[in-house]
Amino acid sequence: MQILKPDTEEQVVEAIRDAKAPLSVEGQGTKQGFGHPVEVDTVLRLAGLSGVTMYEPDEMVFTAKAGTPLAEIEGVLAEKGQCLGFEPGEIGKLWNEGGSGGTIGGTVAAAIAGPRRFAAGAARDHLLGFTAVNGRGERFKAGGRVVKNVTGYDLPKLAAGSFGTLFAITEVTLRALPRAQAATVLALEGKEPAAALRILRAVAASPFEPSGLIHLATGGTPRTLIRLEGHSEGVAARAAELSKTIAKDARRLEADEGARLFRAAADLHTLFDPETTLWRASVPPARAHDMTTRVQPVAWFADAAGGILWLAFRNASDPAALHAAARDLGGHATLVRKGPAQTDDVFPPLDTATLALTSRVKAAFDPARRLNPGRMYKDV
Amino acid sequence: MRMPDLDPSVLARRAALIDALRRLVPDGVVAEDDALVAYDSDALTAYRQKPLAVVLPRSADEVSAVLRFCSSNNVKIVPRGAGTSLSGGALPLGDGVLLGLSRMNKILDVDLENRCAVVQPGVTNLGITRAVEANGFYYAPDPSSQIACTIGGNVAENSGGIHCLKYGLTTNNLLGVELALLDGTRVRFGGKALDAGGLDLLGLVTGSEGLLGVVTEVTVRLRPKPPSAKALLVAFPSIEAAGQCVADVIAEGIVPAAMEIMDRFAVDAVEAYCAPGYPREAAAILIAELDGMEVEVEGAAREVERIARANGALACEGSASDADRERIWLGRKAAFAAAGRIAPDMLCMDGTIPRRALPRVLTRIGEMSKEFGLPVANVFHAGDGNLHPLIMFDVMKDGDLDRAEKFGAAILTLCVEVGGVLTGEHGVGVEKRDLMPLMFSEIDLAQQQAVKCAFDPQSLLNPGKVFPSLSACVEGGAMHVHQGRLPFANLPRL
Amino acid sequence: MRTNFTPAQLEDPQLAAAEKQLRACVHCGICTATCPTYTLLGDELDGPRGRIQLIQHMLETDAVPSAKVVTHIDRCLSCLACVSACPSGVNYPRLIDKAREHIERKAQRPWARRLLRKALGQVLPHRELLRPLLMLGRIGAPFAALLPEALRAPARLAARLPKAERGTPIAKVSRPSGTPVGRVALHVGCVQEVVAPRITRAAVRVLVRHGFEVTTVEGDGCCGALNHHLGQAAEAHTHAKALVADIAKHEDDGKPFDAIVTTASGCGAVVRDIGFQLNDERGAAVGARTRDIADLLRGVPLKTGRAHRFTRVAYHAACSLTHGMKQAAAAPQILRTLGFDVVEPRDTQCCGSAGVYNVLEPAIADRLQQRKAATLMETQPKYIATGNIGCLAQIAAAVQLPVVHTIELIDWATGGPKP
Ligand SMILES: Cc1cc2nc3c(=O)[nH]c(=O)nc-3n(C[C@H](O)[C@H](O)[C@H](O)COP(=O)(O)OP(=O)(O)OC[C@H]3O[C@@H](n4cnc5c(N)ncnc54)[C@H](O)[C@@H]3O)c2cc1C
Ligand code: SF4
Ligand code: SF4
Repeated sequence: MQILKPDTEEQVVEAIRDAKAPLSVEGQGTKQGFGHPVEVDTVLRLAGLSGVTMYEPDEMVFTAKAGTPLAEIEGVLAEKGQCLGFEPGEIGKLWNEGGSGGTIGGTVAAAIAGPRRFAAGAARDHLLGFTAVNGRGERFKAGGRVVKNVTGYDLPKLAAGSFGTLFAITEVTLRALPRAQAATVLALEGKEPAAALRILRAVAASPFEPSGLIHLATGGTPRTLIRLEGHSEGVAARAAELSKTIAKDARRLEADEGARLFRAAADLHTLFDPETTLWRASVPPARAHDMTTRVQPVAWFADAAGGILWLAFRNASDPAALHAAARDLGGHATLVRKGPAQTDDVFPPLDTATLALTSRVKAAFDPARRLNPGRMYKDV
Repeated sequence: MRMPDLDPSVLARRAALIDALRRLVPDGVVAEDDALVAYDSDALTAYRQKPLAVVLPRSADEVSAVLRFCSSNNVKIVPRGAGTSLSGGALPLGDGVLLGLSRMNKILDVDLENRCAVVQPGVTNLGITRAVEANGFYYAPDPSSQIACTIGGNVAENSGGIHCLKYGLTTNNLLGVELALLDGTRVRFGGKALDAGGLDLLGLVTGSEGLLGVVTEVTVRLRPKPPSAKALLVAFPSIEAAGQCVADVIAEGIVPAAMEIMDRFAVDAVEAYCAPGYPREAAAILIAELDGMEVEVEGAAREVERIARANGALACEGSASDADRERIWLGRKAAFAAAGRIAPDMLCMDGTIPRRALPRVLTRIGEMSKEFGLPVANVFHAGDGNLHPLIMFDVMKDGDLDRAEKFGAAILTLCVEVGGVLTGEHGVGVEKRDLMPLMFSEIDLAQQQAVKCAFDPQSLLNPGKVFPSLSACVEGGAMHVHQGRLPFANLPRL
Repeated sequence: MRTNFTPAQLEDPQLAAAEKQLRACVHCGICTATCPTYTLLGDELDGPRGRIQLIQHMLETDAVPSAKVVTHIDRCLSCLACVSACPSGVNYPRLIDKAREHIERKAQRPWARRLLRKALGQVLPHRELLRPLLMLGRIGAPFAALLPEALRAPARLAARLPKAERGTPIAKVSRPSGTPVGRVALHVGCVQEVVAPRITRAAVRVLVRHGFEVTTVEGDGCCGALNHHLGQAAEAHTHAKALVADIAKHEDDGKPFDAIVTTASGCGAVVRDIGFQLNDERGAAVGARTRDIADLLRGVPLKTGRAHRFTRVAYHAACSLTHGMKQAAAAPQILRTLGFDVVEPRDTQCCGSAGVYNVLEPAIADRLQQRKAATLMETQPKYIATGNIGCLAQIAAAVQLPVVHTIELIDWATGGPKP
C-alpha cells in the first residue's frame, strides 16, 4: 500500500494526473469504514493540506484547506464566538474509538451533520464554495464565498456527500454562525416511541423554533429532548410556553447535561455499542415509528423529529430488508457501520435510470474512475 | 448577444414537427406566427425571439413524450414556467420548442404531518402558501414575483426572496423533485424524507436553469407560520452606517427574517409613487423584520434598535400593528414599480458581495451612474449582501439599452472584484452568460459543462444559456472550446 | 417596452393612448396570476401580458389578425383584474378596447359568430326588442338543441337571463320631502330595466329617503357599454352621445347634477370613461361625476331598521366595481354598518358574466360561474348580493338562493320592502 501525502494543491493535481491506477481519497481516513472498501494500492491522503486560510468573523465565512482537522476549525471559530451551524460531530470515532475527529473535507464529503441541521440545514446548506481536483487531474473551483449565489451549477451541493467519488476536495469555504447566546434543553422521560415522536413532530410544526428534536432509545430510560436556542429571554419564553402546551411535564435539563447529550447525538460513537451494525435511515417523519417497529433495532435514536433515524443492530443486519423497509415507507437507508465481511449495498439502491445518471455524473468529473471507484456504488 | 446557430434541418421540417407535436399534445401547441409574439421573451425584454412552436403539456407523461420526440428529432427545448425570469433564462430559440409548464398547475398532495406539499411545476409560489395557510403553514421563499412565478421556475433559478435571510433559498426548502430527462425518462431525487439518497442530485438540479432536465413535480418543505412579526424602519445618515448596522445585528446572533436597505434615490422614488412615509432626510433606510414569538420579537427589536442607534441612526420606528408593518413594507415592495415611473425601462441587476464591501461598491455605483449618464436606484437584501441596483433608461432612445447593459456589466464586474458573485438569485440566463469568465476559469466552466453533458448529451436543453460558449459533448464530458471561438449566431435585437 | 409605430399611426389619439400603455408595460407577468382565463387555461395567450403583446403586434402592423389571435382576444372578460394587479399602472382597457375595434374592422370571424355579435349589439341595448326576445327565448329554450348552431347561442342567452319583468313607472324627477341634500341623475340601463326593474326602483326609494332629488336619465336607452365591449365603436358612440346629451338637457337650467349615479357597475365603469371614448369635454365632465350608488351612499348617514340584522349576505364583488370603478370596499362596508353579516367567497375572480361574455364564450363562462357559485354557497348565506346586473343574472342561474342587488338590501334595511 502506497500512501501519497500531498502538502499542496499542486501536488494533488500531480498525484491524480500521474496516477496509473485508481486512488483511495481520504482526509485522515477516520471514516474509511463508511461506504464500500475501495480496492486500490494507493491512498491519496489529504490531511497534509491543512489550515484555515481565510476567516472573516464579520462576514461569518471562512476558507480552510480540506485536511484541516474538524477540531481545529471549531477552535478557531469558537474564539470569535462562532461555530459550524450544521453541528457536525466527530463520527470518525464510530469506527475507531479514541481515534481523531476527522477533517473538514471529510466531514463535508460524507455530509456529516448533527441535530442542529433540523433548524440550520445540513453540510450542503453551509458549503458556499470549494476547490477540488477532478479525476483528470484538473484543479477547478465552484460556488463562491457569499451565501446567496446562483452563478453556475450548485456544485457545492453535489460535493457534500460525494464521498470522494467525484473529485478530491482541496479547499472548502463554509459559513460560520454565531453561537447561540442561550440554550435550553427540555427533556421528557420514558415516553413510548410513538408518543415521543408525535410530540417531536408537534414541536416541529409549532412556531417555537426548536434547534434540535431528538429521541434517544439507546439504552436506559428513553429520553425525548427538545433544544431551544437564541437570546436568553426568548429561549426562556419559548421553553415556558412549550412546557405548558405540547411538551407538558417536560423537565429543563442542567445546561451541561443538555449540551453533553446533544454533543453525543452529534458524535454518535458514545451512543452505540461499538459491536453493533449501524444504519442511518431517512423516512418521512410521520413514518419513523413504522420504520423502527418494522426493522426492530436493538438501539436507536431519532434526529430531526424522526426525519433521521440511527438504527443499531446486534447482528449483521439484512441490508436488503432495511433498504426495502425504508423505501416502502418513502425514504431510504444507508449502512454506516457494517459488520465484518458485509459487502452488500451500503448506499440506497438506485433505480436503473438514476444509477445510469449517477454514473454519467461520475464520468463528468472522473471519466477514468480514478477516485474512490466503487465506494458508493459498484460501477460508479 | 449571440445564440446557437439555427439548425436549418429543423427549420425545414417545421410543419411536420408541429404536426407531430400536435398529436403528442392535442390542443396544446401554438405555432401561428402572430400568436407566437406573446411568447417571444420572459421578463427580460431586451432579448426577443419567437420560438419554433410553443407546447403546453398537461401531464408529466406529455412532457416526457415531447422530450423524447425532440431528442430523437434533434430539436432544442427551452422550458418555461411563468416567464418572469429577469435573466432571459426562458428566452426562446428560433429552432426550438418552448415547453410551457403553466398548465401543470395542480397541488397534488398537502401532507401536514410530514410538513410538505407535493405540487406540479406550474403551481405558483404563492399558490402553495394559499393552499396551506389556513392550517398555519406556509412556503418560505418569497420572491417579489411570488404571485406569478411558478415553483418549477423557482427550482430552476433557485430563487430567493426578502425572507431568505432567515429561511434560506429555494434549495434549502425543497425535499424532492421529479425530473424528466432529455430522453423522456423521469427520475426522482428525494421525496418526503429529509435527505435524498445517493449523490445530492436534487441540490445539483436546483438552480440549473432548465439546462439539465424539466422539473415535472416538486415536493416542498412547509413551515409553521410565525405567530408574530414586527418591522423596524430605521433612517441612517449614510449607507455605510446602515451597512454596518446590518453586519452588527448579524454578528450579535440575531437572525431577522429580513433586512433590506434602500438608498435615497429609491426612497424618493417610492415616496413619489405610493408615499409610505419613509424618512426623507435619510441617506439610506433599513427595514428589518423580526418574527417569532411576541416576547422574543419585542426583545430582538429592542436589540436591533440599540445597535442601530449605536451606528448613528437618525430615527427608528417599529410597526405597531400588522397594518403598520405592511405600510413599512409597502415602499420596499413598490420599489420596482416606482422606478418604472421615473424611466420607462429598467434593468434589475443582482450581484452579491461580501457585506463589508457594501459602502465601496455603492459609492462606485454612484460614480458609474454619472459616467454612464443613467440613474440608478439601489434596493438590496442587505442581510446577505445581495444588491439589486435598478438601472433606468429609455429603450426608445438610441444607445440607451446598450449603455444600460454596459453599466450593468460594470456593476457585476465590480461585485466579482470585491469577492462577490454575478448573480444572487436571478440566474445567469443569457443576461450574464458572457460575464461568466469573470468568475470562472476555462476549466471551471468546462467542468460544469461536463455535468451538463451527463444530463443532456445532445446539448438540446436550453442551449445558449449560462455558458458563454457551447461545447460538444464527447465520451465522458465536454470537449473544451478554446478562447475566442464563440459558436453562437447573432440574435437580432428588436 | 419598445414599440414600433409610425408617426402617422400615432396621430390617431386612441392609438397614441394605446402606445403609451404599451410603453408602460414592462412584461413582468405579475398580472397573469390574477387573470381568470390564464388561471383556467394556462396559456400566455389567454393572459393579460400575452394579450398585450398580441395587441401590440396587431396594432403596429395594422394586419389582419389570425383566427387564433382573435380567439384569444375574444376570450378576455374585460374583468380588469389585471389592471388592479399591475404594479406599473398599465391601463389595459386602452389596449383591449382598441384591439376589439381593430378586429371588428379587419378580421373575418366565422359568419355565425359575426351574426351573433351583431345581433347582441343590436338587440340587447333596446328594451323594446329584448323584451319580446326573452319571452320567445324562454318558450323556445327547450327546443334550442333543434336550432342550427348559429341560433343556439341566442336561445342560450335567453335561457340564461331571468324572465322579463315589468316595473312600476318611475317619475322623471323624484323629490324628497325637505330641501334636497343633493341633486343626482340616476342612470337607467337597458338590460337591467327589462330583467330586474326592481333595482332602479329600490335605488330611487333609497336616494329620496335620504334626501336626494333624483332625475332619471337614459339617453336612448343604453349607455353604449355593450357595444363598446363588442368592439362596435360607432354604435357605442351613438348611445354614449345620447346619454351625454340627455344629462346635458337636464342641466341646461344651470344646475349641474352633483353626481351621475349608476346601479350597474358594468355601465358605470364605461360611463366613467365616456370622455375618452367620445374624445369630448362634456363627456369627460359626465365621466368625472359618475359614481356607483354604493360609493355615493358611503358618505351618507343611513336610517336603519332592525328586521334585517344579522342576516347573512354573501357579497360578490363585481369586477367592474372592484377593478373598473375601484370601489371594492364601499358596498360590503355599508352592508356591515347596516348590520348585515357580510361574508365574501374564497374565489375573488370574475363570475363569467362579463357583459355578453357568457353568451359568446359559454365554456369558460360556465366554469367561472360554477366556481363562483360553489364558493358563494360555501359561506351558507341567506342572500347573495352584488352590484352589477350581469353578475346578478349569471349567479342567479347557478344557485337556488335569492340573488339581489346591494341597493335592494340597503332599501330593506332603511325601511323599504324585503327583497
Ligand atoms: C417583478 C419581478 C420580481 C422578481 N423578484 C424576484 C425575487 O425577489 N427573487 C428572485 O429570486 N427572483 C425574482 N424574480 C425573478 C423570477 O421571478 C424568478 O427567477 C422565478 O423563479 C422565475 O419563475 P418562472 O416560473 O417565471 O420561470 P421562467 O421565467 O419561465 O423560467 C426561468 C428559468 O427556469 C427554467 N424553467 C422554468 N420552469 C422549469 C421547469 N419546470 N423545469 C425546468 N426548468 C424550468 C426556464 O428554462 C428558465 O431558465 C422577479 C421577477 C420579476 C418580474
Ligand atoms: S381583463 Fe380580465 S380576462 Fe382580460 S386580460 Fe385582464 S384579467 Fe384577463
Ligand atoms: S403587470 Fe403590468 S407591466 Fe407587468 S406584464 Fe402585466 S400589464 Fe405589463
